[in-house]
Amino acid sequence: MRILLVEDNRDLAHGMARTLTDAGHAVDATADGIEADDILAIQEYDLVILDLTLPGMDGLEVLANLRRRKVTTPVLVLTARAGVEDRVAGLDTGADDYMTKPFDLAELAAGVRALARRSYAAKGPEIAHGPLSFDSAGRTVTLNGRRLDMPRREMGLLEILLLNAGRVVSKEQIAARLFSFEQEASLSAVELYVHRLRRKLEPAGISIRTIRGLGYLLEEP
Amino acid sequence: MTWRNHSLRRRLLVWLLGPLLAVCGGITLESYFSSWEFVNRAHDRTLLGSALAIAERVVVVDGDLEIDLPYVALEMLGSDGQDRVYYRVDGPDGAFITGYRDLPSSAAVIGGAFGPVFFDAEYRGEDVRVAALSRDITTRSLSGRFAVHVAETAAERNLMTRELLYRMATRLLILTAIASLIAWYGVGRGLVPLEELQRAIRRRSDHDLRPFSQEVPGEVRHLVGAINDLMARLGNSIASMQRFISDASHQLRTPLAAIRTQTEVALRERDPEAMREALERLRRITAQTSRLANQLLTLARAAPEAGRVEKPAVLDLAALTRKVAGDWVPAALERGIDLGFEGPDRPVRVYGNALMLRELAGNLVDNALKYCPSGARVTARVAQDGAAAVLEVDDDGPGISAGEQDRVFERFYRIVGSPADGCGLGLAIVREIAMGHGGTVTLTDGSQGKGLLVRVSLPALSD
Repeated sequence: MRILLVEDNRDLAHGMARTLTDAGHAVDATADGIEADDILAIQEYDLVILDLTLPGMDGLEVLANLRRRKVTTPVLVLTARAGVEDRVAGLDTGADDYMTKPFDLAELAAGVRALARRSYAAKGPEIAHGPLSFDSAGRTVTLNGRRLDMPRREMGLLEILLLNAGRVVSKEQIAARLFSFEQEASLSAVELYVHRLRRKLEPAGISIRTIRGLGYLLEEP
Repeated sequence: MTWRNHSLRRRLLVWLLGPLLAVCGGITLESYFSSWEFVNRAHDRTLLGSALAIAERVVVVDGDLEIDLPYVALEMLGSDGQDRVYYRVDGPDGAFITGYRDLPSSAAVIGGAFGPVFFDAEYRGEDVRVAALSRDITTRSLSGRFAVHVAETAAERNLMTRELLYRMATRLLILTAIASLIAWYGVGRGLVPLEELQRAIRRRSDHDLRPFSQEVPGEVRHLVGAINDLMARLGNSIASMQRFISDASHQLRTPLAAIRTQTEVALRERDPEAMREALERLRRITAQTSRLANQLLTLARAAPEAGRVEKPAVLDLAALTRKVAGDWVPAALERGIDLGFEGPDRPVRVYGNALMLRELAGNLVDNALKYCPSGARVTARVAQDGAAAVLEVDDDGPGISAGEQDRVFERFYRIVGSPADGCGLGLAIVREIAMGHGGTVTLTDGSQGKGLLVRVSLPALSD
């Protein structure tokens, strides 16, 4: 994946670039807001990691310019400012996710992975999860290289779990996704589909955990 | 400028002058009317005397009424020469006998009443006062009733009453002016202690929060007491902030020293395995320090002395807690802890700051995960209990002994021998936030008979 890293603290930028490169991404780095804005105007990336306090141009402005150009590249915002989380999360800044400094590299990796998955799903290629591979465009599921037959609802369930792997998905969220408005969105039906999906995936070591009172979580491979 | 911030002097003068002028006006009017009455009464007596004198001189000559006008009778009137005198005598059946035929007459007296009757009228363009009476006369040749009218112009009378009025009004105006001057001066004198107090307040340095001891009038003693009270509270809050800053810097110093030491150790190491170990320690220390910095920031924002920046809103505590618990599930799974949520399907509404309440819930869950061993069960629970919105985090971990339950709310307090790498701020933050939302925090044993249950009770909004 091609990532633009915009961060003006050299030590932090170095550490992050190193980690992302090790994870197999191609990383361009800049420490200046204006330069970032220029680069983004000509070059397309799969992901932008953007610090908010930048020399030259404020991070939020860079982000606003990007969205004004109708570029939908996912943006992960970094901030050390207290209270900014709320603004980034609450206001329509166009950011896809945010992270408060200081964070550890595992957190960064998880954030990048989640955004990558979302951006890939939008473009249509496969989502890989351990021995499982899901083609969201062709609507096919392969487990250990063998095609797995799956009804439409179960496939929808698998997709929402895959897109949120490692995070809790509530029954209500699943129901809203699986059933259209006219259909009775019953939570026990969700339980039934989870039960069926589990039976198919558990032999391959993929586990869907039930989280008391909260929903389900597909464990990271 | 509204009435409330007009100067005391002005307010007092308005309060004094308004009613005083009204009362003086009343007194003046009253004395005008009564002096008018007195003057008239004296005047009327003289007029009556003249009228009686005239009546006595009415005689019957050859069957007709005739009058031998006594000049003395008229001389009694108009003695100062300013006023003119008129008279008129009418016989039985209203037949005019002598005098001024067109002098205004009293219908009652002409009609036969004896009188005397006094009245004001206008004659020849002047105000006149008229006395009227009638008498019976009986002779062999004639028997009947005649009427006498005597009038005098009222110039003298009017002048006198006007004079009385002016004198009275002048006296009252002087009284009012003197009262105002006294009030003006008195207020100035009364405010002197306040001006001294003001100078004392201005002279004070920023650091001197001792109470003010200036002598002030009783009315403002409470104000000075309130100011002194505020100073004392300010002093406490500044002292507690200074304590907090000094505590915080000490708390930051220790891990920074550890980081330096470990860095130097790592740089000196030749053995890659030992270097790795030192780096691993470094990673752990910095993670802890980051957390400490975050917690300090949160506390600084939650503490009442920081003042509120974020606007409160109506929130669903159940949804907020469910979200926070969900966010912590991956961390719980990593530690082998079963983290769950229990709450009603309908919203539990509170009025508060979402960021702060998320922080509160997160700290409670984080604490439970930190102190509970693998295999433990932690439940975040939200319920509405009457007027209270209750948020509980219930675990079956080691719990907190009764002796330490009070102390754990203190900033930087850590339970001796606890294995977790906390910074001792979690529960202090929880309590600050709960108190900032008008709520309370209580600790009890966990519902499983062991462990800890932290209950945060906030005022709920009714539907």
